[in-house]
Amino acid sequence: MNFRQLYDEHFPFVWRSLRRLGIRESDLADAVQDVFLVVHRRLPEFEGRSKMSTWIFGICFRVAGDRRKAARAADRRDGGDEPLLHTPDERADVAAEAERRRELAQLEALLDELPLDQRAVFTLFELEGMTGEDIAQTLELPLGTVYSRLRLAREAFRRGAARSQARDRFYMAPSPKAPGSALTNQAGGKR
Amino acid sequence: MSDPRRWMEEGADAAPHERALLRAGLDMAPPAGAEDAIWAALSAKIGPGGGGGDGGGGASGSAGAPEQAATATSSTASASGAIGVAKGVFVGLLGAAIVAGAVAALVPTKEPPPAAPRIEPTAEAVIEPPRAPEPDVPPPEAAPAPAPATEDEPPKSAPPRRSAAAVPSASVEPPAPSPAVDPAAAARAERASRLREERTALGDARAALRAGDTAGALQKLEAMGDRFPNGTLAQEREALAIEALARAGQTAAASERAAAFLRAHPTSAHAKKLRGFVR
Repeated sequence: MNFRQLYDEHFPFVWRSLRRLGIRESDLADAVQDVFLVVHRRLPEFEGRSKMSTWIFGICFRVAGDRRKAARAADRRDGGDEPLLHTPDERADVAAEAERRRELAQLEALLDELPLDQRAVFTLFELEGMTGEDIAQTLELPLGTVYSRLRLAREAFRRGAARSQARDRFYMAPSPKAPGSALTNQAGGKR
Repeated sequence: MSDPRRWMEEGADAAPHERALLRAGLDMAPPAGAEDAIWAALSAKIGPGGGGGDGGGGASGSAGAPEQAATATSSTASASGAIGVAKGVFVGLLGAAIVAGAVAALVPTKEPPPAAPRIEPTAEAVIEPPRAPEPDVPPPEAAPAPAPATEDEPPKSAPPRRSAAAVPSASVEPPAPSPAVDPAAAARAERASRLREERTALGDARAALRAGDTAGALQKLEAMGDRFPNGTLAQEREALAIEALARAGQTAAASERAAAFLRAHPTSAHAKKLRGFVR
């Protein structure tokens, strides 16, 4: 298998893994590139003792961790000289996009509350469908630790989901005047 | 020890709203075009450094080049000059922004038209839950019907694992069966029409800003805000307005509004860029 084939085969996995580990869409292209550059560089070290996807996920996990730290550090810099013009354009199905964005935002808000190690276990198990054994191997953890992290993550997710549901109910409750969002208030007609 | 049952599996100990939240994670698939775009940027980095004989490949810049280069480098990866690659790597040219845009721009080109989004009728209320219908639009017939979609939305038959489909909506039924008599479909069509209008307004403002006309852009955005105070593109409108303010030298106003935006939408795709405006 040459590198292009490897890339083709694992690209969707890398994409969604990084996404689920908390890399935002705006950073995904960079992060995916980072992962494959490391894969490319370290491919000779891959000894086939684990599955290729397992090995690659380990790289995703480290890249996501690095980027998390970097993102915190860079929170206040990062100039804005490139226009914010790359928004949904004339080709975009904005309704579907808006819907997707809302669902994802809710999920991400919940996942963001989890420590990265719990988040990795939770998403690999619940979304990627990996077994506990596979996850243990991927993250180099004892199986018992995988289960305990899964349990903690589930509990935290459950609490967050309950809050999210309560919020939805609040906003959906019939009321003559729905509360305006901060966005609207800020954006509204000031000249 | 054996694995617990997954939440997305039948009979698992998960509430419907928990599953509904998780379901969004199954759809985290790359948009069409992203794979090639990233490959192009990637191969530009690994191609020349990898060497490996087929030297012309990396430099020609044509579509065929990356493939040659990468093939050639796969066996000599350790000799690659890609040192420190995990940091500070940026997709060339417009980079991440293009791909972020592609998420929105490319996927829909292969999807059903705007009038038939991939959502169930009950999701009607989900898109803009906190908001009342805009005053100039008659309330859609379907408005009273939908309950919060996260509540009782029946789990679709989509497989609970491995979102292998390249397009998120691929596993969901296509357009609603009888749009002509379905009030929900009529409401969707109405909304899609307004979205087109809103999108056009945003495009006009964007064009003005691109042309350096910050005042014009702000004026258009303000008009857009009046017309669509709670529009679907409200985030984009506000982000662009902040940018326009900054470009017009009104940094304090830009900072204030960027901070407000970030409080309201901390995980927005625009959040990263907008942090740069907060002083």
